[in-house]
Amino acid sequence: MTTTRRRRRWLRLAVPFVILFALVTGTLVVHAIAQPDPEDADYLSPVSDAGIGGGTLAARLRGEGVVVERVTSTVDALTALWTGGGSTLLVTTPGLVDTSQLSTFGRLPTGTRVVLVAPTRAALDRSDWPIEVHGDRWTATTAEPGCTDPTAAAAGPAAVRDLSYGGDCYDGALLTVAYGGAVVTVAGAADPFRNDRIGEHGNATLAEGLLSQAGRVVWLDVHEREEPPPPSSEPTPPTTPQQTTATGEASPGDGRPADPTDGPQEQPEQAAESPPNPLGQAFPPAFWATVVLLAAALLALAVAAARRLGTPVAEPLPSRVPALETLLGHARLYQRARARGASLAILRTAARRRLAVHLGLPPGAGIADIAEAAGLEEDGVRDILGSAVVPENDDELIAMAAAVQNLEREITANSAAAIFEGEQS
Amino acid sequence: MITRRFAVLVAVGLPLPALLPAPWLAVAGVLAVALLLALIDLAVAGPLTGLRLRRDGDRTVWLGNGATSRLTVTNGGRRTVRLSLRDSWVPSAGAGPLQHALTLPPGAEQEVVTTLVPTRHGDRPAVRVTLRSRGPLGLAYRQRRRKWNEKVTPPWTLRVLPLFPSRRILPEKLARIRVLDGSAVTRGRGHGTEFDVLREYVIGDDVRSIDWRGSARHHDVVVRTWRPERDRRVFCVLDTGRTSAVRIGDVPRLDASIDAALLLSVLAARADDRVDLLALDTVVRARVAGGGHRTQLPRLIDALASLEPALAETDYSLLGRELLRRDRKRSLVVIFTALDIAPMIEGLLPLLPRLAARHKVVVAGVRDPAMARLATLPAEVSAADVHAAAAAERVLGQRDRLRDLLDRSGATVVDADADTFASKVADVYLLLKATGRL
Repeated sequence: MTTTRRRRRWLRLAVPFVILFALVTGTLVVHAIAQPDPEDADYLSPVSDAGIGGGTLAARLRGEGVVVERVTSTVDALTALWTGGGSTLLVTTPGLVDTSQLSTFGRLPTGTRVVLVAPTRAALDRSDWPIEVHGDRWTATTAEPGCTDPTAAAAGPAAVRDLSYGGDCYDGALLTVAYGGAVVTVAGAADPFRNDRIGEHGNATLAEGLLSQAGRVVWLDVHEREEPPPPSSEPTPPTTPQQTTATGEASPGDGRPADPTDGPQEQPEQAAESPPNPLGQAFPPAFWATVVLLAAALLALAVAAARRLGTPVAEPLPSRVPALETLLGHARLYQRARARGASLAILRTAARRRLAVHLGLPPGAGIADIAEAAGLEEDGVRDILGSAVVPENDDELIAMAAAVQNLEREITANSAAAIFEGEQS
Repeated sequence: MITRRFAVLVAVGLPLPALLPAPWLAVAGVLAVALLLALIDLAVAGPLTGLRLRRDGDRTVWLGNGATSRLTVTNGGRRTVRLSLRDSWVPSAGAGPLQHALTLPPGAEQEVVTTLVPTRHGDRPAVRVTLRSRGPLGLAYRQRRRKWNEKVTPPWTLRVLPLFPSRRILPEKLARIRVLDGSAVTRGRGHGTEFDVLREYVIGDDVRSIDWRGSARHHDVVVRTWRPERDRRVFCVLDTGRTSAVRIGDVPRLDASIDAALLLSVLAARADDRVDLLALDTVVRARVAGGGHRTQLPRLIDALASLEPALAETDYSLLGRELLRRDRKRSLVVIFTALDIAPMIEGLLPLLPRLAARHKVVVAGVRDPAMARLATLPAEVSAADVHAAAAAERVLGQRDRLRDLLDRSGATVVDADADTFASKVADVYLLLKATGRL
């Protein structure tokens, strides 16, 4: 039996961890399934009516007189932006799009608005935009605008808060940054753009507000990872400087709304690759060698201490039962049940029995007999030993119990004194 | 395996990487030298397989006294063994010192002494002797697995006899037996109911004890002398069931029962009565029966030593089977148990009338002084005290009822505190002996 018990002992340790592991894995799997996949062709596509598509938003924009132009590659998008000025570029899958190409300084026409839907940390790292992911949440949730941005203020609460970028609006989920002549807006979640969620809260107003500020939307609908172009420059870059200067003056009077409250956040560019760990070079190799040797010495000490000269011997434990266990349990039960009447009755019965024995009366002698034999007033004894009054609170109970004990002591002491006097005389 | 000295050796090499031009090579060198030395040490260390262990020493000891156990180690190998040895006993054996270090040249034998001060009665086994052979440098050692060590350990068991605190009242009780016997000078002649001898009358003898028919035959006045009955049977029954596990003061109730049973057995053996012993809970735990008078007392003490309370309800039908046998002679049956009403009603009470018809039955139970203390209200009374007093009075009332029941069934009840318990039980025996009611 002991061997089977020992064999099963590891289960006690393993079972909680297995359950925990299963719970965590299950939750992660369910969460991964519930998240829309950017590589799905329907995901935020202007021509899709699926739940995760963006057909509703495209239709609404067209209804407002905004031209929606769907492009399927970054090159096409740049071409489209350069051919018609003052457009909004909607990037639905920043994780798949080559954002470095889009964010290169001067690559976009001045005055272009760029709206990025939930760009991840990796997508932003690839780009030059001075935006960072400050935090993320398990799922998207609604948030109050909390800022004076007219678009956000008009939309009211919207389910945009998932990734946060440190802006003021929607707890940091909506941030607008001017960079390289373009205005880049990042939204923390895809919910406001999706067919199945656009009707909730102020989602529709927010999405339309973000996209309808220029008369034209270039909808970049990419569902495969784009490879960065070879280093040889493409036809568009040479035109960039000219165009920038050409439209540079035009941008202020471009009918753009007031500046976002965040204002342009210009941040110094970081070094592209992280330098080697400075701690490694701060000390000479002799130091590290000494540390390794010290670790080896400590390890040897631990190994030496681990082997005992004989394992401890277990004592065959004797059976010992605490005394008065049931008695004290009874007492606590009486107290919990506030059985004051019952407790007092037991004390009185015991006192009567002892007094009857003490006074030489037959067992079961009444209160009258006891009072007579003890030479006391019957009424007084009856009050103490036989009254039908049930104590109302603990103080009464204590007083009555003490009275019973005092009476008993008084009678026994009296008769002892009487016997003593009798012997004396 | 390596010792701490190995770690110290590595630590001594700590400055070398800083001092030498190639630090990593220095690290490798230090580790290599240390490992090499340890391997050499391990190879040179004496083999454990040549060692032989032998043990002798005390087999029994009274609880509270010390015993010694001598372990002799013989080196049958061809190399010197530097031995660390640990003699492991169960913790309640109180063994010390924990470790011994000895150096054994080939063929030599040496003795290590372990002193034992047991803290519990019963059998205290020696569990394991662990051997460790160190190398001459002290960097590494040889030690086998636990199973191997257990295999080479010579088996030994120390029997710890129970504490006998009633020893101090034994002389007084024995004196009373001698008075009964008539061998001590007292007011009267030897009391008793058994005819001893006829002897000449001397002035001062009780005239009532003159044997007139004998006087007529002897032409002289002779008196009869009496002596207490001999060769009566005393049957001690110890209940080792769950009620005996209850702690009274700091020791289980069974210990008080064992003490009282010991005193009774010693007295009865001195008074030339036969003592039998039966300890039972669900099964019979110990049985000492038959044999001569005084010779079996050590056997009895031995049997009492190994008793342990079991957490089970006592099966008194076993007792009935033992005592109601047809060939069983009338004896004084002393049942050491607890005066708890529930197990009594289930177990002993149905059996008691039949037992009492054939034997003289005494039921002895130790009282718990804490209960009486709880039953009286303290100076600073709280509601909890009143309820506790009520619960205690309830139990005391039940016990009184149980005593009445036992009395009515024909048993004598001894209900005393732990300090006077053994004495009270002995008094009952002496009273029965004096009045010839055994």
